[in-house]
Amino acid sequence: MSGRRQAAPADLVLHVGLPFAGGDVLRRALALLRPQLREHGIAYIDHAELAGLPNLAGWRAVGDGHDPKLAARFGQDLGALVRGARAQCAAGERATVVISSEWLLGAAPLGIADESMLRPDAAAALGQVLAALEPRRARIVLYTRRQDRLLEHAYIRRVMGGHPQPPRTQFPFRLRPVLDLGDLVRRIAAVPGVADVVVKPFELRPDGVAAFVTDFLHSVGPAGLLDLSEVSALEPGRIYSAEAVRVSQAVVGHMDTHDERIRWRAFAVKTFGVPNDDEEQTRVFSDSVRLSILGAYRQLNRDFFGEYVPGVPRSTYDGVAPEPTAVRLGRSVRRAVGTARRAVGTARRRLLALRPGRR
Amino acid sequence: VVASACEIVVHVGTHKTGTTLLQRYLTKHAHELAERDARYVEREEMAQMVGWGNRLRADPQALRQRFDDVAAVPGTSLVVASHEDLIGHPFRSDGDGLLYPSAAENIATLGQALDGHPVRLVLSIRPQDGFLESYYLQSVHEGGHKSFERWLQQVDLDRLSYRPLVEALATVCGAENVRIVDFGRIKQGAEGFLEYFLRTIDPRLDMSVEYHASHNRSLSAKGLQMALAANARISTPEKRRAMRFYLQKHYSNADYPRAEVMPAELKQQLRKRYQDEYEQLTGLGE
Repeated sequence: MSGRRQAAPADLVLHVGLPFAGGDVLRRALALLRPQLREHGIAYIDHAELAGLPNLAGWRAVGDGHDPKLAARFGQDLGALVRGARAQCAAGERATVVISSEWLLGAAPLGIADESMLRPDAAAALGQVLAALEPRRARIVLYTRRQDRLLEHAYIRRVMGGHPQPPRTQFPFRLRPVLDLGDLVRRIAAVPGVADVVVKPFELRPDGVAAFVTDFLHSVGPAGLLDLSEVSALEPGRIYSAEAVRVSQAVVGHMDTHDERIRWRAFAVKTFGVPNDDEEQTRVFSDSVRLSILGAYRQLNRDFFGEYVPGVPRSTYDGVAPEPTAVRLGRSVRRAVGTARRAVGTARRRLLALRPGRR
Repeated sequence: VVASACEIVVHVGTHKTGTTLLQRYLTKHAHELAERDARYVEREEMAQMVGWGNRLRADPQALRQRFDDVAAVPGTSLVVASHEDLIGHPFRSDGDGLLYPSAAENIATLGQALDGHPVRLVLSIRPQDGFLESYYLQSVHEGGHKSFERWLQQVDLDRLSYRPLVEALATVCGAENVRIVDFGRIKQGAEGFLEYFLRTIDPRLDMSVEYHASHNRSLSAKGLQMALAANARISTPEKRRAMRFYLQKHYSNADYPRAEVMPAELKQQLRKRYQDEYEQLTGLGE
């Protein structure tokens, strides 16, 4: 997987999403690697730490400058967070700061907010962050997803949130080409202080958590220098399967309270969930719905992939051509190898924990 | 056949009449039974030999052998067994609408397994309207998704008499050795009901019951709606089971209004139709 405009090392790397593009597992991996990253001069801050700052969720207000006091306080607190993270690195002030959060583009859940434009507050939100941190060189890493999957995941999220109505009711804009990936990259690149944007289509990610993390680390620096054995053992997160959505469509309408829905979601992901690398089990849209969405985006995607990832097969962004058997088998084998690796990693960690002198 | 002095009492159902309550109690209080020279053949063990009556019919010798073995344990004068599936499914698509259509055949086979012992057979029953409602809710609880009206189509409301069951039991052990337990007594509370149930099985089981069983909660109206909507969309028995526990835990009649599935008019009609018979039968247990 490659992006355009990768250049000299940055002192600030912002992983900004998109949603449903591996952010969760990447953050879990980076959290595990934090001690090693510090040794290599990298201070990692993740979404959970940002969430402690005031009004991250009210980004629209901050970004629009409706509340300058709030914006100033956010800037101060973010600055303090970054200084604190750098202080824990051997490199101190020279450390590269990596921050991962979908909120850096102004909103995390994808849905109604994106009705007229993909991540409409992206420039404002990023501008606030960069103004507060004043990096020498800021790199933005953006994982993209095909619009059918973005909409599909957004729909799943809506159902699990208590809205069982069909996609045509909840996403009337689904066939309007408003989720323009190329436009988003251009808006991000135009933010003052952005040195380069690394674009990584999630559909082209390498298989396995370790390979995925390594690919990301190439955008940061020390990709080949870290021990990724613990990362290899990471279980993929669990997400709602198509069955979870079908059952939820049947029951969420009967639920009256927010607490009921929260409880249901936990049960649904435990009972009907699947590993988030299982693309097949999470397909909710029919092929015809998927094709009509992709049809609406055909020209935009052709331009986008042609510019940022030239040479990829058209089926990557243009349709739902069935995979050849060999490809499916290959994926099954790789998945089995991944599972075995994780099991070995877990056993190794347990053995290490049993060593004398370790508690 | 060697005649034995050890008496065998078998509780054969019906379903939804406190059977789990009784069976759990007997399992947990084996020592109190032993103090009274009594032994209990556990439900799981019975299930292996009985199934829904099919296993019993295929091999009655297995159950007979088990009863003989338990009866032969020194100091045993009473063997108690309980398994409500022994009389089969209450309703079968090929059962011509009859309540427990396999019961007569299964009970006759049970008679073979009990041959040579003094025998008493116990039948616990509840009024037909409550039985139908409760059994329907159970079917939804276990993954069914038919509405009550559709489910009821398999039932002949004129053939819900318990009398054929009682007569089949009497054929095996004589009418004087048939005992009837009235589930209506559950209104006294679980402990009072259990004491009554145990004494009906045998007067020697005169334990003072202190039993804090986890209540087998029923689905509320809300839980029932959710189960009906969801069950058809769930792919495996394991997931249906998980769903069942989830709904039972969070949407039972302990927290929400109870499910009223049977129209009041039908309820009254069934009461009127079977009340006299029910009172006569439960009078046998007094």
